Amino acid sequence: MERGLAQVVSIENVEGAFVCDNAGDVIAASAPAVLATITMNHLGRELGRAFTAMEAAGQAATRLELRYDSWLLLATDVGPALLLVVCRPAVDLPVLRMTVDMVATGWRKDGSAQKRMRRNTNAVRRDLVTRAPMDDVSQRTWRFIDSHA
Amino acid sequence: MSESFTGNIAQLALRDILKMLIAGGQTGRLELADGPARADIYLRGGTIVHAVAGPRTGEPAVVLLLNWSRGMFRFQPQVLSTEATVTRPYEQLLADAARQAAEREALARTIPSVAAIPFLAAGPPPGPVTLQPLEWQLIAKVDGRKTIVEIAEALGGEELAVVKALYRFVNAGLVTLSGQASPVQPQRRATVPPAFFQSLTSAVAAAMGPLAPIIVDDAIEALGAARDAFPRERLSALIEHIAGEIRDDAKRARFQQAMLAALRGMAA
Repeated sequence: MERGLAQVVSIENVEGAFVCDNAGDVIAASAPAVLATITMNHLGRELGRAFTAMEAAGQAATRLELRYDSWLLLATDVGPALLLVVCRPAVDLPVLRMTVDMVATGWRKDGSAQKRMRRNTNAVRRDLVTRAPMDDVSQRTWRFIDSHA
Repeated sequence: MSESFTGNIAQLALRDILKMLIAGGQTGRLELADGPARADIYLRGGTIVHAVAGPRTGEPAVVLLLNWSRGMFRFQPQVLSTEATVTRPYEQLLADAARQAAEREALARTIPSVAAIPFLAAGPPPGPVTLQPLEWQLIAKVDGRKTIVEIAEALGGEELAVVKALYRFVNAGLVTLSGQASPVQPQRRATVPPAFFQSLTSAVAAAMGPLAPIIVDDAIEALGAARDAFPRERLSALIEHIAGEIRDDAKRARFQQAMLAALRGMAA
């Protein structure tokens, strides 16, 4: 998996990349790590919730691109995990997306990558939402989305 | 007709398919697909009763679909719709589609592709221009990055309405389009050499077979550009567009690997 991450990080304007399993835990990261582990775990959980909510709302996505003032986060669903890439806004997005797609395709056929992504056998992405401590508004929003799924 | 039948719209025009189903008094669902786009037309006893094409339903959907020139179709007999959104006779819908096609053809002479990117003209227009509210909203979205399709989506409006407004702007000298000489970009843009397109076509052929030249040309056209002046900075978008057409994972990955290496070679 590290080789795949290195391929992604070799693209100009990519700062770093990491993989989070369905529990939101980091299982692989480019070196040096682009963010603190706690931050990467937090992103893994939040993006996992976002993918779960979209799927529940009937708008399943395989990729999310989040643009901020001075950076960009590309999150890709690679099956039992998420690949997150942190980059500068000037990144060549088509090149990045194709590289991510190519790496993800390789991981789907790589037994050891699959084993790492599924290491937490009890982890179900949906649990990131259903078992998460949420405020009232988030709870009501989730119940609404889930009831109309 | 008790079994479904399928085919290619490029070989049997949709209007002919519908004429046949109507003449045969058929009931069922005609499913259409062109890449990711999906649509359905429902018939009952040889009359079109309902249609869905993306966000459009009813008669606007039928009129849009009658101008599809490619894609696959499948007719599923006895699949009914509970909705009845089409009330006008088929001949009238055909006439509407013909009018729309003629309008699009006139617009296409100035705006050849909705994948083109509009730019604000660097200098003032030759005369005064009055803007309607929608047109003002449209001008505010022209940023030299969004395509015409993206602008229409951002405005939540009909693509055709946006194209018509842009047609007026281009003719008034307010806006130019990517692929045309643009006063906003005085510097000469780097373009892709012809030899690269030969390599690209070979790579596409390895993944998708002998239709490769057509696939490459369609992708170039979809980006609102021309092969002989294709902007270097849009090459990765072109390759990504083509890669998206390759359904086989392994072939797509090989294509991506080859073309990413070629892109790095060009940048070096």
